Amino acid sequence: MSPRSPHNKRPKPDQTGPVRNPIAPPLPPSAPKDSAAPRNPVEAVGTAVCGALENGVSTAYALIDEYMRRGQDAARTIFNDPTRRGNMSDERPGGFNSAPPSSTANPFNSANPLAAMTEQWMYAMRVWSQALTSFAPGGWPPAVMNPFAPQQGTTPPKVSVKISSSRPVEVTTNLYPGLDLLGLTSEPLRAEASKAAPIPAAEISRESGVVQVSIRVADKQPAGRYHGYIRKKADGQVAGELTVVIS
Amino acid sequence: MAASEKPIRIAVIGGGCAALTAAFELTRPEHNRRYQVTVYQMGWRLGGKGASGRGVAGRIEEHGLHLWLGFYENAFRLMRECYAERNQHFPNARFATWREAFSPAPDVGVADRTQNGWEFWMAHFPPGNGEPGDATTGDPLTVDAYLRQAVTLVVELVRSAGAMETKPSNDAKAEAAPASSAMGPEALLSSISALLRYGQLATTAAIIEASQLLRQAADLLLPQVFSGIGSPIAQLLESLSVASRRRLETLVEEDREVRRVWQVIDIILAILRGSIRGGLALDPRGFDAINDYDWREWLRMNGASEQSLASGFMRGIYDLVFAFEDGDVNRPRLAAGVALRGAMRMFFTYRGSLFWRMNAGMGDVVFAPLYQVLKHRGVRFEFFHRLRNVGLSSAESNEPPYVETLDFDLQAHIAGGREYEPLVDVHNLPSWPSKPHYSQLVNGSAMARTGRAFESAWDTRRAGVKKLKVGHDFDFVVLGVSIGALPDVAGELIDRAPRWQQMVHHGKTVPTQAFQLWMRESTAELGWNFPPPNLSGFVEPFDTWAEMSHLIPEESWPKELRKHPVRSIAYFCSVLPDTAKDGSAVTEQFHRRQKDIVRANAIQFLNSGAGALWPKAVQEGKFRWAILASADKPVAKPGSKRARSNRPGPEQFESQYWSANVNPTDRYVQSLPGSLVHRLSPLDMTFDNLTIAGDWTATGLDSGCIESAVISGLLAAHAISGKPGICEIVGYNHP
Repeated sequence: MSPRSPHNKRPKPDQTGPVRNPIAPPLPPSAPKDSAAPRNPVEAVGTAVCGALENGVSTAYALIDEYMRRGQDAARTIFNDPTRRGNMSDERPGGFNSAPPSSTANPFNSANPLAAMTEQWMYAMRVWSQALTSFAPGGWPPAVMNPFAPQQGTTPPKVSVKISSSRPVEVTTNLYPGLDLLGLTSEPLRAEASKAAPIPAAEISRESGVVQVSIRVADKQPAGRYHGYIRKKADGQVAGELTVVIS
Repeated sequence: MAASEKPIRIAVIGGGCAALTAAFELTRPEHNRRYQVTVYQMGWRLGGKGASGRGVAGRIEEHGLHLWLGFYENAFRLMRECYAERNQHFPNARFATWREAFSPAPDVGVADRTQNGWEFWMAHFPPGNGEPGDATTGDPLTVDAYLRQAVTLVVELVRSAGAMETKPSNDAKAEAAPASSAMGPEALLSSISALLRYGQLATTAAIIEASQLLRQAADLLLPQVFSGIGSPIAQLLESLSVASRRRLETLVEEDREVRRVWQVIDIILAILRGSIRGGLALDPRGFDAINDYDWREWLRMNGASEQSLASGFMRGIYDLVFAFEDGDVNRPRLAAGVALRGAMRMFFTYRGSLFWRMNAGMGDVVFAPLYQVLKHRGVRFEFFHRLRNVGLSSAESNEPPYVETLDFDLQAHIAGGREYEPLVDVHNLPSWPSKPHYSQLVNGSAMARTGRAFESAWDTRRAGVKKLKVGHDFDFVVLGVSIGALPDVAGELIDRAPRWQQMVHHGKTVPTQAFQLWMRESTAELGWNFPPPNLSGFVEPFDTWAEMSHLIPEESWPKELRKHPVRSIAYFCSVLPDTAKDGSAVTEQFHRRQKDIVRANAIQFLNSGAGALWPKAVQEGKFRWAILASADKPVAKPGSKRARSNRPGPEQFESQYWSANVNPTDRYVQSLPGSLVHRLSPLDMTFDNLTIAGDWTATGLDSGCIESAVISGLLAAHAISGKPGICEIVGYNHP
């Protein structure tokens, strides 16, 4: 009989190596590796980017479809219970941001096994939309992807957080770089591991180039981790995240 | 962890950066003590290749020169968290925050040999945005952002070169270059075509205009820039490259400042051309696509001039990562993808400062706080444990192979069965000693008399053995020993797994040499007229010098020296020619011989090369040995009557510190062309209950440095616990 304890099998990692091309998300572990495997969408993207506008657009949609399919496949695999499938179950391309995500199946929740892949997916979308706009008159949008670029004003917005709470609270904000600081709104912050009432939406304003986030935590708010998105008022797209941990 | 759950026992073997990072991650409070970690370390101290010790007079004695780069996001984040946690539990320790432990080092130099001797190109890098380890947005770094920054840099460099070259009478001409205002893609392409119709970019004004157009093209039409050879933008780039090479050829010796700028322009243009020709931005392998090439070979293929490739700037990059095969300085070899990734990260993503220096020894700044924090979290440390063998489960089992046993030699027993207390206090700074606390060891006095080389490969004396069994003593293993030691301790793993065989076969390491000087004259008094630098590309056998005088207050020099105190500290390092490939034949005699070689190299270097750095350190063609400070035998004041009558010679070097890093565990891990594909990741699942950790593993960065080691440790922790998330490892998913 093996003397091993039941602990000593390692979990399968989310990915087994770096994703070298930011356009490519990590492949699902089940993806076949033989030559008959579906063509890597990155190659398709490469061809399209180098080609004419119409090729670029059609390949973009092919890419979007491919990512949607993968995301949905992964969601089906992991969340067999249809009630827990969250917005990844949305069959419509473009439906990704159409509804507020449920707290349990939130694909951006770091505790969620889909987190890494969906973040890559979202990133790929941003890269691709940026690439598409480059074909249009007016060129690239001002946002540049490198969050560290020292010379180009591409740093994330400065954030000032004001908390009204009688207990120790830890707040984490993540705003994407290159944002128009006007017109941001927060959604209520939902508890990630309980059915506690959400924390009311944070107030977001802008003053002297600094995003000011004001959060009020009620005295009776249960301890735990709460999460919500910051969205653009204009189109409802996700512009960042807000996490509050109440001790 | 629920009260009913048994903790998972982790055996971390080795106490280097990667191993301790894994321990740090697995014992985070968020895990709620789910993982019970024990670190097994040979000898008396943690640190691996980053270990340091306090010697005579509290001198800091390093394994080699360690500088942190401003893009070491994961390493700095680890340190910031570590210091914050230490300060909670040990509020009286000095260096309460990471910023007290690290200082910006923005002045960098490279050395160029000219007809007139060595000349130094000093550069001051402005502060980068924020500080390393600051929160990031989570966005990966992208090729397009790099290329746009590279093009912007070209414009700035061309402008500055133009300003240096332009005679007053030509000012108006240079200024007359049309300022490229914002224009649409069609207008831009039309402007490029018009410029190219003139043929060669013969004037500075034309080159400036061309570079400005290139920048606009990068802003507007980056996908088209990638469309390959033949496009107008590619033609523009080609013309710029030709112009830069032509400009380099015409520059004479007197124009060295301008020439250096053109060399950098030439190299950046070669990178841009190579990125277009190789389709790097769209290659799913990222920069790894060019890892079979040597860095200079790839630049040469893409049009870089021989003059640029031989420049001090280029040699400095090879020096920085000891990229000389078999330690032969005539065989520079560095995988092009690793170099390109490193250069992009180094120059375009640094934060705070290009380099950071530690304000004490690396052991004191990095490993003592880690030790204290981990200990406080409940991690057990078993010093004097030398791993002998990793035993695998039966090959005939149907189960995937797993580690069944771990065999250790116990190098010493701790007196009274107590726990070994490894640190010493130096000016209220917990530090590691250069030698073990023999008083804590059974038969310590006898060991001290005869001397023990606990960290060596050859001193295999032992006081006992220990066998750990899976399920009884451990559940998972983090194998954090260096790749050089694997053949000795992991033979079963190598025999069982062909990929491990490939990894060990292709993963090359190189011995290094280093020495440190404590001098009684400041570097300014010795004739160095620039800010304190980190300087590379200098004369072999020691190509790299770092001015480390900021460490003087951290040491404890005796009172007798107060009249002539230590006024400067200098560290030198380089590769050491490899006469025992991969450390396979390291014996005590061999190590002694190698140390003798390093000493002879240092003495020869000081006599013949130091004068180029410090003109006043040399007298009558010889190094002034009297300026070396000795804690044991203080010598007379330099220039005094006593000193003149009893002038010390090279034997005074004996009082300094030098090392020959030839042990398998001490050798530097190289990134040779064609070798990277054979590296295994800590995420590799070949063995069920084992992961690996070290800068020799596949870390995404794949270079021998602190950041690589920390990434490896993060990956090892992820392999066991699923945390941290891969997306939290900054720069892992990098092209």
